[in-house]
Amino acid sequence: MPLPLRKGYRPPDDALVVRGGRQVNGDLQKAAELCEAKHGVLGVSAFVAEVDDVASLVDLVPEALRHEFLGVSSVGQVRQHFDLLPSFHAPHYTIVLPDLDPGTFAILRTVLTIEPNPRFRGKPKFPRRGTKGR
Amino acid sequence: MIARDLWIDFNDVDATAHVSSLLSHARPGVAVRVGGILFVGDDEGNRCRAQVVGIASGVVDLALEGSTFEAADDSQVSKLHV
Repeated sequence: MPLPLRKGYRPPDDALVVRGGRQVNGDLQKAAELCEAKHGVLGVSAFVAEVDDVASLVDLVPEALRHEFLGVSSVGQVRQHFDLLPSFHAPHYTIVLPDLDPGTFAILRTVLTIEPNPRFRGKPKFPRRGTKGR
Repeated sequence: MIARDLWIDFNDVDATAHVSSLLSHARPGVAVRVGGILFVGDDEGNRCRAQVVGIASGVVDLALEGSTFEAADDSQVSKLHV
């Protein structure tokens, strides 16, 4: 299935970008492989929103951002190196990677500053099955 | 810590606790079949139990049991090679 893309809204350069985790090579590689296998695009999931702080963005997708640490950036910083596609349902975006080279992952790690997750609780609860989601 | 059966990216978990992975990201020897219960997680050491709800074209669809989520511990994280 092609990557489902949204149209009509382009977030400003200062909008917040968050991807859960410490962005280690193994996770980035497998995430990109999965995205390519499912959607034909070499990319990894991230979340983008015009919010005041990281906690506000995590509150939009708590089921996906349960990691103790998060990679945090801005739309402008990410776009200096990578394409950023509005995919699935907001606030989901896909950071498009040119290849699976460790150097590419290293660049992504320079863009995504690792910060503690302000909402980290160790064992967060999922919403009940059947709730509407992306 | 229980060994991971199948890699997942928690960033891909949707609001209904569903997520996908690839058969090729399973630990060698693990039987991945619909209805089976697996321990899934990422390379940081975050773990969760999940039920396989579908397999097609090498893609595995899973329903996570969110209450079983365990965050990576520091000893696991210290072994990471970026």
